[in-house]
Amino acid sequence: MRCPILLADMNAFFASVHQAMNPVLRGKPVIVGGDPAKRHGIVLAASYEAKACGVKTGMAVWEARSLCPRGIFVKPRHGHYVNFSARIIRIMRDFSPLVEPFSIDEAFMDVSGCESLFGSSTDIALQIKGRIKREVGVLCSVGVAPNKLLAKMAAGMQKPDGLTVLDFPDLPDKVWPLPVRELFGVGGRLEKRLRDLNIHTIGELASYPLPVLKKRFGLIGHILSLSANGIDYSPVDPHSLERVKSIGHQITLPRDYRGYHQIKVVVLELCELVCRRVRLGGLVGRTVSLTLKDTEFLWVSRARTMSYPSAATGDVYRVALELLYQHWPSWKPVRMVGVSLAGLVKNTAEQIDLFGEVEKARLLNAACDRIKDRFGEQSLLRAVSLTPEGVLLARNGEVTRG
Amino acid sequence: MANIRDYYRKNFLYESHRLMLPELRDKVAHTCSQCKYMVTVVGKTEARPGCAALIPQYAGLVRRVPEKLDVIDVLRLVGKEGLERVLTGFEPQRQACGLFHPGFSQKDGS
Repeated sequence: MRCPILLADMNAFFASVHQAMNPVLRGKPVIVGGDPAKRHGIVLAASYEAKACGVKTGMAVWEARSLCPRGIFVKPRHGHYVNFSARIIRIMRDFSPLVEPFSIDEAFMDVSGCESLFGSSTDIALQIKGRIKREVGVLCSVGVAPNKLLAKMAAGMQKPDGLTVLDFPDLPDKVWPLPVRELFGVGGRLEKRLRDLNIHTIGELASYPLPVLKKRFGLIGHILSLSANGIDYSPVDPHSLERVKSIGHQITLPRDYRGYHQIKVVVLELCELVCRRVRLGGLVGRTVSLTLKDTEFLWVSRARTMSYPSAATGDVYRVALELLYQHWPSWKPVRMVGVSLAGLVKNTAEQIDLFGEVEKARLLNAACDRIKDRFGEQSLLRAVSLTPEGVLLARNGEVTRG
Repeated sequence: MANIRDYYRKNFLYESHRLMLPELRDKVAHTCSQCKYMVTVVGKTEARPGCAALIPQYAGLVRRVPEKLDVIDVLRLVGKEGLERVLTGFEPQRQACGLFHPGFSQKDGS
């Protein structure tokens, strides 16, 4: 099989999920956006009917409203998106176990060796498209190619409901004339640096002398040259999601918080959430990161590594506070707070102390976890969540997870 | 990243661009047999695993899902067709569905 790699990319996924759940919305301009009153007022997704009016993802909701006055604005329902995504990946896994979810609406798939069961890769792509449309009610574009890089580029070539086969002979016509920014892995800063070398298209990058690229960009220069020539040796890794590198939460505050006494409340709530998830996975972590964004949308992110791995809320909170005091002046207002724990390893051993404090904290956390397991996440909250600065109770536990 | 071989072998390009919600990771990385909704339906002559998420009284974890349910209780709650759905809705080795909730290990005590 020449092109065994598939990438299924859902079209306007969030909007399509709402249209699938509520048939009245089908064929209408659906715009999924946050609540401006809670300062989440941006467009997360728009249906193709809304896109025709000029609505784009990331646009402010008021701007979308002015561009598309007849648009139907719906609030995001992340639980539904996750359920739909899981159902789609289940369908893909009916064809091959080699499925690598890439984001909530994209997944790679390797169908090598499946031809005697389901036909060629194009046949499999058609079958997957059909089943997703029939069983889930969402349209998707599928890219079929010899490797992941070309499959990713192919999936973006025909939207909505497209099926594109992109093989090496197609590169000069379909890929090389594209701007270099269109190459997967090239961002704004890299594009600027490539422009300094007079490289504007993928074709120019493909024909650029490799030694010069390697000298200028090191290993990335070599990768860029290979990518521009359509070469990518990355495997489709079905176990990629089983390796958790970090767990974090971030939250945009309903109003600007000023002073440590206000910010500390949110930091503690986030530490509690993060540590709960880390403990659920049977993990402990060492590196605590604190991210803060001010009213000018300028953000600071700082990390500190603990001397021992832990999943205790108290330990993570103590380090997060150290970072807060050290890197954020108390007078500066805060718009967004995030906490994450990285350097995660399986919790196989624990460093105990002389006076039994660690053991006491572990028992307390275990007791809290058992209560939450049985009665739900909202069954047990810290008392600070009841203060005016607490955000979890008001948001009913709906926190953006990163 | 030390060399080009490791770059590709470790899937670096895609690992560094991956955006994943933890809830989706839970559902995709687990199977039905690790789900909190897994329940053993005990009949007169045999016991078979089933999916309690398909029983409205247990859906959404409104009530704690027990380890075992008597088949008569299931019949009373969801009827004969419902029992069929509960038993066929559980496939131990298949990827968890959208209703997955982690926690079998806690229930099991292991």
